[in-house]
Amino acid sequence: MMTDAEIISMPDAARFVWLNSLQSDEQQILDCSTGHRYTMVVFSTIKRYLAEEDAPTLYRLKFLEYLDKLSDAWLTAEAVAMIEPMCDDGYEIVKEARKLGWQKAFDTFAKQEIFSAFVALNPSLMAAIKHCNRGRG
Amino acid sequence: MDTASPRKRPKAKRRELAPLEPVDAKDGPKMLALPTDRHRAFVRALYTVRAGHGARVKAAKLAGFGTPTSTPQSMATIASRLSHDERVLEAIAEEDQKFIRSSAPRAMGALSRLIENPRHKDHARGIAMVLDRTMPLETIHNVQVKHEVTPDFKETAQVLARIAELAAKFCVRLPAPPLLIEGQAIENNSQAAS
Repeated sequence: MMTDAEIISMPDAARFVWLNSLQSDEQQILDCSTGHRYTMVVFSTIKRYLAEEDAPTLYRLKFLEYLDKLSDAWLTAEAVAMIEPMCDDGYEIVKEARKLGWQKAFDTFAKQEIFSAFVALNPSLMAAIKHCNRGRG
Repeated sequence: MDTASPRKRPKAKRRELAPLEPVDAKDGPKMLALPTDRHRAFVRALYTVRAGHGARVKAAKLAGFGTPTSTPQSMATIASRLSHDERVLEAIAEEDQKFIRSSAPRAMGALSRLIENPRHKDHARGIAMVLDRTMPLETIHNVQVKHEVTPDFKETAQVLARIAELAAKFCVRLPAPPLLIEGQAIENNSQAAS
């Protein structure tokens, strides 16, 4: 798995070759914007929180409003609905990243290698990306 | 001309005072909380000295504050500090309440004398006062109570409806609500029959 740093430092010719060698799923992940990547990871985390039994009603409502507010023309409500709650392993990554502070954590979620790990752990993220890219042809 | 002054009647020997029966009167908590007996004596003296200018100084002197050589200014300072002491003020408030409560029998006596005297100018008012307390008029109060409840204090139907709506929209699986025990109460008469 290529890291962001490796991709950036890659010469143009090598990058062209690498891009052509990508599978369809990898290509779609690469095309997904940074903001949408971490937003999907956050949505998956929020759905995990919402599934907790002892979550206060007020927070539950706030989280749901957050989902409503952050879904947009590309990441539609149908795509958000496809995202499954984060698994335990994925949540461990989130907890580690949170130690950097939320802003850096978001950047970390969006990194190519980290987001690919989230996709591997939670295939519904890939399904959501595919659903979002459906209209693009 | 008779210039002789009227003869003074010789004073009879004073009657011996019978020893007081020990009365187990107890001070209230605020009085007991005062640091010394002199403070308590000061509070009591405030109710016995004649009210007016210098009353607090007199009470302080009666309570044993100051020395024979204390100047009036010193005594005034002592009296002022004492009467503005928070503990003393609380004790005074407590004694006020006791004084009012213990005055109730006298007030009742005065009231009964008033209502038995038809020539008294406040006779009718006294009767009205007694009647008001024995047969009070019924009054109906309409009180509007406005509650402002935040969602975390009360799960309103609107909040729950919104949660359900959003959860359905984003396909969120919410935990099941707490189980309600549904059923019908059936009276058990088996014990009464046996």
